[in-house]
Amino acid sequence: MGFLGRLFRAFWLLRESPVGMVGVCIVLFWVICALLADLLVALSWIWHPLATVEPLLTPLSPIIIEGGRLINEVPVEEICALISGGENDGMYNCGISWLGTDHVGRDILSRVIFGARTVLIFAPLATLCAYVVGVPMGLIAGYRGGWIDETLSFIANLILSFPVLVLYILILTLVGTSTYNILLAVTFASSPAIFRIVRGVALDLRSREYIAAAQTRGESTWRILFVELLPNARGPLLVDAMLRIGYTTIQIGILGFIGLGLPPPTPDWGGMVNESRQMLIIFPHMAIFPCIAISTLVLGFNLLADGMREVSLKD
Amino acid sequence: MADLATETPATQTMANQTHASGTPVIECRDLEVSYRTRAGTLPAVQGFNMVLHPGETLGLVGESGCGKSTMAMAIMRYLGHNGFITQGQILYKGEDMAGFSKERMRHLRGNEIAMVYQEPMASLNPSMTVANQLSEVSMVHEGASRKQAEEHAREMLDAVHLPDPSRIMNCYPHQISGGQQQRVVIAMALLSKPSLLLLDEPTTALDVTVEAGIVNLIRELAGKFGTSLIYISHNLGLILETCDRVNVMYSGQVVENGSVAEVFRHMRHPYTRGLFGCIPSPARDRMKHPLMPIPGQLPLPHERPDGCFFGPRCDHFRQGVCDHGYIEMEEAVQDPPHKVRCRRWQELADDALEPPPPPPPEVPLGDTVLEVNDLQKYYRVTNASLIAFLKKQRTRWVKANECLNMDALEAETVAIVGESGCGKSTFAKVLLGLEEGQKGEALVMGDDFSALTARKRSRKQISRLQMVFQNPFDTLNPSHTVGAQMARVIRKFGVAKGRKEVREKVYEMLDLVKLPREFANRLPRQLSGGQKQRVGIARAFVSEPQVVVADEPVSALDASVAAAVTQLLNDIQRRSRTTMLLISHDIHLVRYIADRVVVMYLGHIVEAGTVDEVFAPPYHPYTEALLSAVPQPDPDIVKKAIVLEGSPPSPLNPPSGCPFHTRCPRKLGAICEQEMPPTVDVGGGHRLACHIPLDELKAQDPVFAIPADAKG
Amino acid sequence: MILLVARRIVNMVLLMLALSLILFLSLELDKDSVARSVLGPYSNDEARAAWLENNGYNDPLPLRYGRWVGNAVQGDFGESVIFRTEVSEIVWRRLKATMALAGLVMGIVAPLGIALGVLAGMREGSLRDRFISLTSIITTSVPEFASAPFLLVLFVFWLGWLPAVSTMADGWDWAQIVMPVLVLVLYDVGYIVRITRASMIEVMQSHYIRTAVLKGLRWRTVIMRHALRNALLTPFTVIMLQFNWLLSGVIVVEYFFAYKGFGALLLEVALAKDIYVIECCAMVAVLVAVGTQTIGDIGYILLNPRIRFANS
Ligand code: SF4
Ligand code: SF4
Repeated sequence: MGFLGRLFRAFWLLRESPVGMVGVCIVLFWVICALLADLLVALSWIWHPLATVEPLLTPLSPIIIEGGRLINEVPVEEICALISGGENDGMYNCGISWLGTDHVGRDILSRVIFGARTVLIFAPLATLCAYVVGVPMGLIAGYRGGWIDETLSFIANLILSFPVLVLYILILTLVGTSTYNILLAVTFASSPAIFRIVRGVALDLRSREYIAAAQTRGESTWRILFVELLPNARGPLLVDAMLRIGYTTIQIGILGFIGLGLPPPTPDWGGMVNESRQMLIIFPHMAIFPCIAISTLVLGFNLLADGMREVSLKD
Repeated sequence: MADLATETPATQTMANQTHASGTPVIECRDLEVSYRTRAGTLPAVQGFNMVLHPGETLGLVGESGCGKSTMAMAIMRYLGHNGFITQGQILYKGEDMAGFSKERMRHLRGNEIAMVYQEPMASLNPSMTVANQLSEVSMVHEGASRKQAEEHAREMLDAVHLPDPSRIMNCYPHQISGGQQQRVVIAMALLSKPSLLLLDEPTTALDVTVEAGIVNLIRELAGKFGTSLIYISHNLGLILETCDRVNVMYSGQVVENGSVAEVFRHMRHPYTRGLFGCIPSPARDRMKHPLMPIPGQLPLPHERPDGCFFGPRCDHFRQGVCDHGYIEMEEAVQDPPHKVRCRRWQELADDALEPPPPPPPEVPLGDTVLEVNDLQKYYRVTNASLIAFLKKQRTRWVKANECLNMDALEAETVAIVGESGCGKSTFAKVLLGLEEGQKGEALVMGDDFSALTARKRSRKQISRLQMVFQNPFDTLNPSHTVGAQMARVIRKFGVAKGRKEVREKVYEMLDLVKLPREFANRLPRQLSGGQKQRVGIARAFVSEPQVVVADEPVSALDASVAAAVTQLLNDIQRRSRTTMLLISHDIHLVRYIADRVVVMYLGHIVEAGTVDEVFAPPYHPYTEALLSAVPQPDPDIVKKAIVLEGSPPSPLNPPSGCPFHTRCPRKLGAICEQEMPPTVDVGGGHRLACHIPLDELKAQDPVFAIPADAKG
Repeated sequence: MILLVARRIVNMVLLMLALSLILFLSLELDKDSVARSVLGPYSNDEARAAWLENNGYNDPLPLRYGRWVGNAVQGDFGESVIFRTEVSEIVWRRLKATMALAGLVMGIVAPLGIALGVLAGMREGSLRDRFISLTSIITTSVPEFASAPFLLVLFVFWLGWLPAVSTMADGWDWAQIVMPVLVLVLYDVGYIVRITRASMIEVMQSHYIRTAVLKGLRWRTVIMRHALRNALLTPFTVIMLQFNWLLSGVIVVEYFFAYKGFGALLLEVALAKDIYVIECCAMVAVLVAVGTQTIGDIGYILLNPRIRFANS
């Protein structure tokens, strides 16, 4: 209970910070979108993200499909009446393409919603992987010092010397793009940063008297690292984790944007922006909505992190 | 404020003014300072009245959180964005400061009112040279040119007795020692000859022998410049040595004030008396006058009770008398003026002091448990400077411990005394296995521990030797509950097994250190410093060790709390017949609880012997200086004034010959610089290391003299 | 102190060597793939074998690496497959374009970020502080590939003030550089603001600022003489690290606006697997990152009297 309880407490304390609360709301909004993507799509008469209708419809375009054929002349009010009146007897399918469709006729709203699912699976997962690698190494390097620290720090510096995106490009051109490889690349690129944070905290904490007490009690290194040191690093780590999920979201978006992202049919915000690049001036809606989506989600995480930092300073 | 005041503050101050002439430098009238917090607006200081005349020195004394520093900041009008003066006035030379414009305040600060702070290192800008920081003052307040300002600054550095002012002018703060930094801060404060100097715990961060020098300096300068001083301190002894009048503060109120001689001779408020009773004094026999801690702790501002704030901790509390209304200051003596904020002060006359409890029975000592022979510990440091690199001296040695010899018997308390950097903590680390010794041995029950790090010791060996740590905020892991941390130790040493037994044992240990059992479920941050230290003690005694090393166990605590913790530690140790190594810088505390004392200087043992032997002639010159440096809150004690110059040399570069020769007031000459003095046995195991012939040392006067007619 | 600086430089050289080895191994360990990338995917086995033999690829690995490093130091990375020119020539040409872009961005970001950070951190919790902090959080939350479309729609689509692409087809054009710079500045400035602000807040709470105020100095003097110098130490190193970050942003922005710079080149050759250009680009990128970081570290040592005058 202890650790989870305190984790929960960290979030609970956030209610003191208005900025943090806004962040929580935004993130929650997207989490709900991601969880209920299927349901939302069904309820709002949006198509499956892969289904295609008519390419490049502008937002709020009414759509009626009858026998697989698109009828597009009916005014919006009538469509709404049709939907609410329940007169849809299966003869035809109808709805409004709220955000328009893209160049191959896929509905943008449904793809944005499903995109949330993709990113909210990938970003936290990649961050988690990076933590699993970075935390133990940082702890041991900071606590033990000496050659272990020097070796690990050198390796971390090595990785950090690559501009992140260059590193991604190199890794992904070498091993090819796939879901796993992207996860791998993100883990590889962000664990050194986590390593540095944890190392710093461990270095600071290792001279505390309670650590000396544990040492003179003859505790094992393992126990000192994970039971005595780690819980005291949770404040900065939690803040960093939130920032890092946001940052990883951007990274995955950029990968999608430069064409190294998740394989094509997966709804992916970065990829959506990339596909719209050529038509941006004429059909800005294709790019704008996924851009808004990713920006708000990242903003949510950043505000959350900021609120947490503020609250932890007061605590 | 509650009831109608019987005496208005204005008339009070009028009465005060009669005995001195001229406008007071600063005057506070019924001042209340509050801070706005999440819990509402909380008064930090209430009903504060004070008059300070030119050339006078006023002391503010009290424990941490009593509002004494707030007073200084209120006068400076620097209370942060959440502090306000909510009532009353501060008058500077007769003018109400509330009416002063920002510009006027700026002129006042540093020019007419200056301040000296607690932590000299933090108070100086790390990236500006001393010269720049000093000359700024004259440049801004007197419009001096840079050259004049620097000249002036150099003169001032000379006036605060800094050696080689020209060199120090070009230094950055981190390049000079703590004592020197504080002298620079004092010089900075005095540059524009202020009429009022506020000193906020100016020596708390310094070693005692360095402190003595600073105190001397302050006294000298106040006389020379005619500056009025407000001296803020938690230390009654310092106040007695420096001030003309004193205000004793408790929980935001002045509880007793008057002239120093009067207040210290006839303490009237139970709190002042309690505070005095908490401090070990050389004048009092430890068996006849045990420490008498004040129970409980200072109430937080929002927990202050109705009536007397000291009520819950007061032995003389009387229901219906002390627990209602606002208690006014009452005049106890008119000349010299002496006021008390207590409803029962008249009943509690001088002789009504409660009789001391019967002394604890002497504990017979057992066999030798700990024996240290020629122990040596050097640290290696790498010097990164190019010169060292070229000279091939990249690695240098910090000589932390040099040839330590000592032993300790069962149930005995042996104290190791010395200032920071003397190697006492390193010695503890070697014993505990946090560091390895290089040479010599440290036998605990016959096993040599010196080269065994904790990891290499068996569980049994570990359980024989435990430690009480120094810093209450550091000693417990903030992430785990008190109970869990104690349970871990219990399990680790196999003291108890099974959930229920372990829990029982935890309760038992909490009872032992007199903490309520609910504390088992609390996190360390919910405990006060003294309570944490008690948990630390419980943890050390769980495994029933043969030896407990206590490293400055009470140095971070307030006097009233420290006394209780000291008492407790002593009791438990005697009862369990554990050997205790007490590491401390406080030589009087040591005298109070130790059987034998070892005095260390720069890694060497300079004197060792029983308490009575060490505290009486023959003294080692360092012991003599150390004894005289500690300020005493007893006006009846006459003591020798020995003020050491400078600060201890770095253990990186220890002087040749006698380690103390750079500061020794009795230095003989070349022999002290060249030859290491031999350790001589004075008799009965009392050893000291000095070249001065024994007969001469024996002819010394004792440091403390108590005139026969005084109480004692 | 000199030793500390020397140590940083040695460290930098070591780092570069290690990085070059990693790069070399990961790209050239598999000889056949090198040949395939140079001769094309449809070349036959014999031709590849002959090419490898002629170009010394059958020598032992350490020798090959040594030769490679030697050439790299002289700027010789071989010939590009897709551009059919000297690698160093094409990389240098593109690098100049990117340096112009990055230089402009840094020239704006550093002073702007520091100024805003100092203004915000001077009085923590003030209205000004809240406004600046919140704005900086928002701008750092919008990645370059998202802010680019926003700004494009605004300035190009609606207002029609600026051109949509920055190909610089007809030589240097200030109007074309505005959008890429704007996008990069918006994203990068927030970070510097936040670092400067945090550092400033810490300094403003320190005791020596209290000393300075209670000395009777003017508020301006307190800030300019006492606070700034100490508060800018950390942001200085961070700004140097920022070059590393900037390079990532540059890739995105150049790609988006079709700016013919180093970042776009890197992306192009990576997708085309033009191995020698990849090597050269990666080495250049790493050199920039490690170099600026070393400068940052050395600057910190020189600016900080506590290190500069340690144990003297
Ligand atoms: S008023 Fe009562 S409780 Fe307060 S100090 Fe006096 S006797 Fe004690
Ligand atoms: S040996 Fe000399 S310098 Fe040392 S304590 Fe004795 S007299 Fe002083």
